[in-house]
Amino acid sequence: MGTDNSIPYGTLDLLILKLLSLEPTHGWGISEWIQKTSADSLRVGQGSLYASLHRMTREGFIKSYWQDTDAGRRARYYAITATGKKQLARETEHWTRLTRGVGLVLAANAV
Amino acid sequence: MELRDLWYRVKTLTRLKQAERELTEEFAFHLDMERQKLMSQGFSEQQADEEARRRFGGLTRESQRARDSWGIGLMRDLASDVRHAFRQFGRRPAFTIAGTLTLAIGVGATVSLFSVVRGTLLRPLPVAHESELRVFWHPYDWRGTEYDYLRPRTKAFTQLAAFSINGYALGLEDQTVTTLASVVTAEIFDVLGAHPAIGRTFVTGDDRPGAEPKVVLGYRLWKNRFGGDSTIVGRTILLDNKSVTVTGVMPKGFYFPTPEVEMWRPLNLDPNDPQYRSGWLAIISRVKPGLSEKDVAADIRTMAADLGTQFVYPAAWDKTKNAGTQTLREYLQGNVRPALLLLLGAVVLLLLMACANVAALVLSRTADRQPEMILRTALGAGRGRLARQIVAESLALSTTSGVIGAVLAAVSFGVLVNSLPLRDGLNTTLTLDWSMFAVAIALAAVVGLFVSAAPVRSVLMGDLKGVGSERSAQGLRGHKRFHSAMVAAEMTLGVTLAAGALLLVRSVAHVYAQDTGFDPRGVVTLDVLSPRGMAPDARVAFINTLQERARSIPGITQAGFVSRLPVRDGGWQGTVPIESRPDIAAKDAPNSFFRFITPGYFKTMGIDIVKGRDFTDADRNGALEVAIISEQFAKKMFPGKDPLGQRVGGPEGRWRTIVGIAEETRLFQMVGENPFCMYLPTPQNLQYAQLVLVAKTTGDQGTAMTALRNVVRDVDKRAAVGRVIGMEDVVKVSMSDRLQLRFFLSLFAGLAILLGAIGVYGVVSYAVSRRKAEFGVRMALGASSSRVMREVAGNGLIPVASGVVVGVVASVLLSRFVATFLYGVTQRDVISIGGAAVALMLAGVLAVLIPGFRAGKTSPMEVLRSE
Repeated sequence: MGTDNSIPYGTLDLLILKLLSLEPTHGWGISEWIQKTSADSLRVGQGSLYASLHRMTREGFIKSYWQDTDAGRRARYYAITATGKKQLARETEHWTRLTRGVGLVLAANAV
Repeated sequence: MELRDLWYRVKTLTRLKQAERELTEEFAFHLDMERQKLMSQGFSEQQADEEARRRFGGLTRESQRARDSWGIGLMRDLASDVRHAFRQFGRRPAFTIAGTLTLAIGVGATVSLFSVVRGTLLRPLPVAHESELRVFWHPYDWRGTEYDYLRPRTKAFTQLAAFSINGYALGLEDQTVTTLASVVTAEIFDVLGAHPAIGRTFVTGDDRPGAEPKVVLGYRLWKNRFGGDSTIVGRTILLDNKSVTVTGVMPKGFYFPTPEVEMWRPLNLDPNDPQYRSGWLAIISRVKPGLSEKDVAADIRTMAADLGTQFVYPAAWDKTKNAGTQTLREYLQGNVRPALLLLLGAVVLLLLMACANVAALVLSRTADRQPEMILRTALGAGRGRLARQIVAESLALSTTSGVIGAVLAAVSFGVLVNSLPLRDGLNTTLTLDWSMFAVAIALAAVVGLFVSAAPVRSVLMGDLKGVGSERSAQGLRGHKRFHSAMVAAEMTLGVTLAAGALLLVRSVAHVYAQDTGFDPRGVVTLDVLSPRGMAPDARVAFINTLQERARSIPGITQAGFVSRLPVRDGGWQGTVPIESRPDIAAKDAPNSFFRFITPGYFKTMGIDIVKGRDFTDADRNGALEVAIISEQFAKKMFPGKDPLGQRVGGPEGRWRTIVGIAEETRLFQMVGENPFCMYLPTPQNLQYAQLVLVAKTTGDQGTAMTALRNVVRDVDKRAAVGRVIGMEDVVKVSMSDRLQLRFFLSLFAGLAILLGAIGVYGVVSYAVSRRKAEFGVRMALGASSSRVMREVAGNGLIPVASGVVVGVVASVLLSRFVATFLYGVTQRDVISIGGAAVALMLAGVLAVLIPGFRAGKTSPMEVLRSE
């Protein structure tokens, strides 16, 4: 059993929103970006990626449209919406608080 | 958020094909990009392709996950389930139609009848705080004296009010229209808590002698006859040729005591009027707020005791005993309620039969699909999904039935209302409203869920084994048992329903065949409203002239007058002391109806004089005051003695000499004990002599009626004609409750037989279709077609017969619920129950033989080819 490099439950949405807040892109672009920026430490299951994208579209955080890539290939692009930006801010704050808390607890060495 | 979410789902659902296409394209793009990346890293084309697919992780599963996130999974599955269900139904049309129609009939009948029950039994009456209103001592009639005596004595009730039990027909304006009025005391509207739409109602004193004549109009009459003119208040209108001031108009929807009453007039509580001392009123009052039933009961006991100190009551008429009150609703609906509840019970049985038919359909379909279900489970379909599909199927079937049932209910409602035993214009206030359609469909859906419960349970419990043994003897036996049970249940319900209906139908026939004592054939009747203020002599002359002119009309053989028609007009009655029976105390004196007649009456109606003589023109005012008594009166009150020449107390309190005994005649109702009757010559008491002209014609009744109308106008222009009706119709109307009940129950009996037959046919033909292969093989091996037919028939007829037997037993046990409606037949009437059994047996045999015959014609070749 190797190192578990799957993304913790619930954080995939946050990562997608973060990327889409920088620029609109397609599903493959998102998975590549997450892999690269995390220096291959995170790997996205494609199934959960698309499930997450479609769910967030339904929830109105992101929207999708069809557009040609630079290479001239038709692809579905995703872009963040105003609601999505608010959600990102909320989730980022939540994440920071959570990781700081968890970090503090783990750093403690005496009761 | 919510709304957008829903919008997204709906949008996706409506463009499902496109969404699927886009999903495929999106995934293809992803795979392509991954492949290109891998190839650029040095993978071969084939390796890149495999690796990309591996990384993507199973196209089908992933696309399913993406689809699930559209949030339309359940809806889409349901849609496909329902489509699937309808395809399945299409494959077995006969059984589907049978199931749908039976449920539709059951639901339609239930909804229709429930609308009626709700409209009559559940809808609030047009009065304030209905439950506080009480009617005193029903069914006793009250006298004006008693009313005035009780008024100051009640403690538990607010003020009392009285009203006439019967409506009175009055000629309006030019006398061309008659309207029904209720005669009431001045405070009635206060007691009811009803306020006029315009004007005002009566004030204290309006019901006392010397009061100005007033009338309150009903909304319908005001709209129809006075064009809704609000200046009518304060004006006078002509009522029976007399000026009456309109004081107010009641609001729309108000009725009292029955919807056919269109106006209210104050009573005249005049101690000098002998009518003040005769019983013809009902007393109503309102319980004071905050009082318990105990307080009310105590007050009633006190009032009853008080009555005893003031009045002398005959034993049969004793108001000090049996004192009690009824709610207004009980009073008004007394007759309708048990009949309606009975019919509702019958409808529930009918619905049960329909459910049994549908359950048979759904259950046998599940059995039919066991192999399919097992296969699908093996291929990975969840049990939940399978259960959902069964539910979807029965819901599809039942909601379709519900819609058809709603249409049936809408179409049949009018017929139903008119054929129900509803009296007094109640039928005009009933409507079938839209919520009933929702109820119909919901009811059907509930039935659908109910009947799918068993197969769903077996699917969820994983009880799908036996695909291999499906055709084994054991599997068949299990099905056979189930089918037999269904057949027997159908028969039992059918016999029970039909037997109950037949018992009642036969009761009605008995009542109808009863001897009324008069011969209604060819007799026409007219209510004659004689001019007011006529001197007694002039009035006698008017009556005599009218009678003679009537007799001279061609085709009319006899004519006469009576104050109140038998079996229609209830009655004026009182106690009758007997001179030769001092042993009978005043309070035990017999009660008798009083009827004022002219000499032609008995001849016209074909009533024989059993003894003594008929009245003659010599029995005029001033002559010896005479009376003719009814047979029962003579027999019971003068046992072993000759009543002729004896004297009895007349309604005026003076002795009258008995000169004749008349044949017993039904007076009031067609069934029950017939009251005593005393006939008196009209000229000897004109004051109470309402006039109903009766004439016997050998020709056309319509022609005779027109001729008689003209004669009345001709004799005196101020006279008017009220109701005109043939005596045969009078009898029919008096029987209308029962006749209508009979119609409805005949319909039930017919439906019970039909549904039973459909159910049995469905189950048996299904069983036959399942064994088609077996029959084919056996016939190929040399079995004769008659042998196959005999076997099918035998298998079907045993449960049919046992179901009929159980039905007979159930009918005998259940018939006590209809006992109160029976007349002339016993609860265990052999003809009714036996007739139902025979009818269902015949229907069952037919329903078994048709599929049996078809089984016998199975073509072995065809079956073998299809195997």
